[in-house]
Amino acid sequence: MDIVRLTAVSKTYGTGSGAVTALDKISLGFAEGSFTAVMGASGSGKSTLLQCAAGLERPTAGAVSLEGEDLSRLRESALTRLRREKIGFIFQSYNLLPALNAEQNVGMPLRLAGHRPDARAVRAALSAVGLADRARHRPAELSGGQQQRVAIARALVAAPRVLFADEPTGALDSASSRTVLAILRGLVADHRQTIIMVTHDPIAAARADRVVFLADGRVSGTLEHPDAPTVAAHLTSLESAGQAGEVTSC
Amino acid sequence: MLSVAVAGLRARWGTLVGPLAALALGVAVIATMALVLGAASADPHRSPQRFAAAPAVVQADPNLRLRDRYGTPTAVPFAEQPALPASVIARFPGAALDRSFPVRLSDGASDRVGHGWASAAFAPYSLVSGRAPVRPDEIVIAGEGQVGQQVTVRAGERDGAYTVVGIARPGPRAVEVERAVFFSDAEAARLSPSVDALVPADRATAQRAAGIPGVRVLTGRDRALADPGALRDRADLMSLTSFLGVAALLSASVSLYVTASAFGLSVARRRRELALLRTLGATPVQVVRAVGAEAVLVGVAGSVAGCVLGLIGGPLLARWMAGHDMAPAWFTVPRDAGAVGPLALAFAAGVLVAVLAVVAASVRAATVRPSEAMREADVERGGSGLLRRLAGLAAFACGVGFLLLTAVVAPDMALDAKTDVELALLVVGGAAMLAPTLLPPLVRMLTWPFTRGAGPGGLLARERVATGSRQAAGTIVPLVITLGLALAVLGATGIAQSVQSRGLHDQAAPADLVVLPSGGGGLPAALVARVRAVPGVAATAVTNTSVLAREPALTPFHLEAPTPVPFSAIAVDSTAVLGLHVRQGSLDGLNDTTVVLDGSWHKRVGQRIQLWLADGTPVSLQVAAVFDAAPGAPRIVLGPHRAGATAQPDRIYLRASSGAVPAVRGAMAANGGAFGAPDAKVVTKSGWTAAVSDRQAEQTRIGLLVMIGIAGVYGAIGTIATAATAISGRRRELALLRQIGTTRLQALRFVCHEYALLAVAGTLTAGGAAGVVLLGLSGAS
Repeated sequence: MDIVRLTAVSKTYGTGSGAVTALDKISLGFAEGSFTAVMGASGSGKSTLLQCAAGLERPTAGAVSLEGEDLSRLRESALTRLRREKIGFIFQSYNLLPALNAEQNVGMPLRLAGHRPDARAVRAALSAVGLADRARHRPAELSGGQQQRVAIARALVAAPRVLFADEPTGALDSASSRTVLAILRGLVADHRQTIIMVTHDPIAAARADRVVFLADGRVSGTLEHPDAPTVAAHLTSLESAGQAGEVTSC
Repeated sequence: MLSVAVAGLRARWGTLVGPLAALALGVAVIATMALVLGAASADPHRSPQRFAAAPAVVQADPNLRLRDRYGTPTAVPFAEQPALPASVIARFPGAALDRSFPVRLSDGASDRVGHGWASAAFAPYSLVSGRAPVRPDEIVIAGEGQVGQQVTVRAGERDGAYTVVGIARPGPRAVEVERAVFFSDAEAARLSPSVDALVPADRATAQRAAGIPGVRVLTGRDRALADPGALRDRADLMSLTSFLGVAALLSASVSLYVTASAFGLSVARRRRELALLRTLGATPVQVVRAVGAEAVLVGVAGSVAGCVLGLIGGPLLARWMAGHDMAPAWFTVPRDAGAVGPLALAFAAGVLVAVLAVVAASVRAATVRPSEAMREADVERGGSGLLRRLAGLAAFACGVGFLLLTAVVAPDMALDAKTDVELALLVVGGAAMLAPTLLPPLVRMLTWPFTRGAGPGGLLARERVATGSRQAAGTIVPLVITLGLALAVLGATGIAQSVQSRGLHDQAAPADLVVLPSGGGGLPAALVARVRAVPGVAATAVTNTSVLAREPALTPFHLEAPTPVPFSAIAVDSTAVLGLHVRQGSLDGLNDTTVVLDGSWHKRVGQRIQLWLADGTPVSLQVAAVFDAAPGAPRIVLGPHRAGATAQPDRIYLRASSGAVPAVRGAMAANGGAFGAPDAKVVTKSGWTAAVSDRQAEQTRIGLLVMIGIAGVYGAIGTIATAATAISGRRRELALLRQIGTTRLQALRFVCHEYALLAVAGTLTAGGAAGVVLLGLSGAS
């Protein structure tokens, strides 16, 4: 059974003539323990897909379910609690709280859930990303790769059912990217962690079990057990098709 | 969550400096006011002087004591100290009688006070040289003088020749509160028959008077209430407290607005961070709690700092007020246990302001969508909140409504500084709340000429303001508030002044000339008689006084006010040269048993009105005529002897042909005599109305000026603090501008342009709001 399921999800921003359709009746399922990469050109709706699936945005139409629970039926605070318990999030820009050190940042989701952060759990999460010795450093004192690893530790500390990642390697150099991707891959292999990752980097996408391609708010194709050259080729054909489409429509 | 808030404070103190400074300064101003208010309402205010050596003082009670309609006893002070009734004196055989009356010596000093020699022992005065006065023509003077000197003394209407037989000096620790002249007791009784106070042999004897109605027994510290000028000091302090109440209201409101906008700005700056907290699983309630905890911490820190500043400011303000005649010269704010109450109040007010300020900001914080954390740009959503717009419109509409109501129902209220400040607060506050809505069109209008050219400055500034109108508004709110209030209140006092002088002008309408006393005091009766006797002259001698009366109803449905309040009134010896717009009845009927009233009292000719005269005498007077008083002018005109037996006219309105003027001058000069200069001078009517100013109104005006000065400095600091907060948040944008090829100078110029633009827009908004208030007020009067 799919742990996250989107059924005919549409998302429109704005109203009237200025309305933009970001998602157009998408139906998708993500199996438990799977690692899925979502790819597409800028504006293809991949970030919106991620936000709707994670319950950060409410779809205009259609339903999103997490472990069989319909998110659209939940009120804001219930939705927040559900997110807190079942979803972890990693951003391109790390989004650590600059005022807090690594340890405090990692403990934050627990604090928000009303628990006193368990120091051992926080340490364990930090050592899982190889940063046990940086616990007392503030984000400004860490490199980009290290900050992203702190963000991963923060996303994992509450043992979420699904981990969402929005361009997690987008701001990193290739060495840091490799480390971060290795950590994500390891989570899937060792802990059957479900991961849904938006990326535009074919190398990052190649570490996933499956790649979903989006174009104009629709699924334009999927690729099982991808490798980097195939992904890149698929992406290129998609982009040239998009450009061709634009040309013909002119 | 508190630890997170503390950690947040530590790391983010940069963005919180604005709210903290705004709050600390606001609390400092409130604490200063509260301390001065506390000291001004402490009773009595100082240790006894005149009766420091007397065991007890028996006096007539200078308060009208009544029960209001709920049965609560209240005391309304009279304007003058009533004399002690003879029946009371008769019960204390052998007690020393104290008489105080103004006297003038031929050596020039006109502000001396006469007493019988028996009173000298109570201060205590002791003889430095010479001996006590025994014969009727002997006196002892306090201070400088020579034994054996011959002097002419004027007491009341009479001049007399006296010999100085002794020089007295108050005790070593006593402060000289008056310049005393001591007569023999018999001579004092002849000059001033009424007894002001009575000093019994001991306290036990004094207690016998305690039960007599209309009499009070003062012992211990309370004896200070019998000191010279105690009533006047009390009146001054009462007007001071009412003025300080207005000022405190003003500064509390300004600090609420400024602090709220500073907090709002700091929350707006942290929108992304709050959104991030939401993605991490913070519920809206948790976000509000985090912001609120921060506000309480800032509130406590700011309030403590403000209270410390207030402890410095309070005594300074008291000294300044004493130095500018707004408070008695001895007035101080002690730093003792009495300061705890006002400071606690200011502290609580500070924390409350911080919490209130943050309530608005947290409502906004709660609406932050988690997905906002994903966006890179810090552009805020939408314009201003519906709630804020509604609140702004409501405040503005209330202000305008009150203005119209004032204009229609009670034009006199427009002359009250308190009403003006309240109106201005509503209208200007409303404009400030509407600022985010008003700014974009205003800015578009202002920048239109600059966007025509090729330069990017105008475009950038316009778009920044249009996309971030709430932040932009937050920057200018302190400016709008302080400038708007300053313009409105100053303009309003100006209008009040001109209305007042127009009222005086109306009152003296038929007159050509006005006779005024040249020194202190009033015009002697003999002089009035001589001027009146000049052929071809019509004269009205006017004496200012005050009466206690139950307030007239504002509307026919209005219930009568429960306790009497003081009203200024004039007593006239004839109505020949009095400019009153009589509506009903005739002025000819005015005498000591009748009264002429303004229409606002809702009385008709022939009805009676109950009044208390300045010295507390209750009278019931028949209405002889009803007139329409000019706004701000006295609404009660009394008969010739109703200002009190010893009161002397303050001025004479004269209608005289030009030929009679020399004769008038001659009549006035007739009694120059021993005192060198004549007692009075003649001025033209216009020269007089221009020079007249009400002492208390003038003090209020100076006080308001100072308050606005303080509020202005405060607003300027608030503006700079919020601007600094805003600029520190724009480093990234400026760095970006530099990257796309802007020179450092250009970037600086953009920022300057933007703030100059905002300052102009703020000034326009403030001017517009003040204009609405002033237009309404000048329409009302």
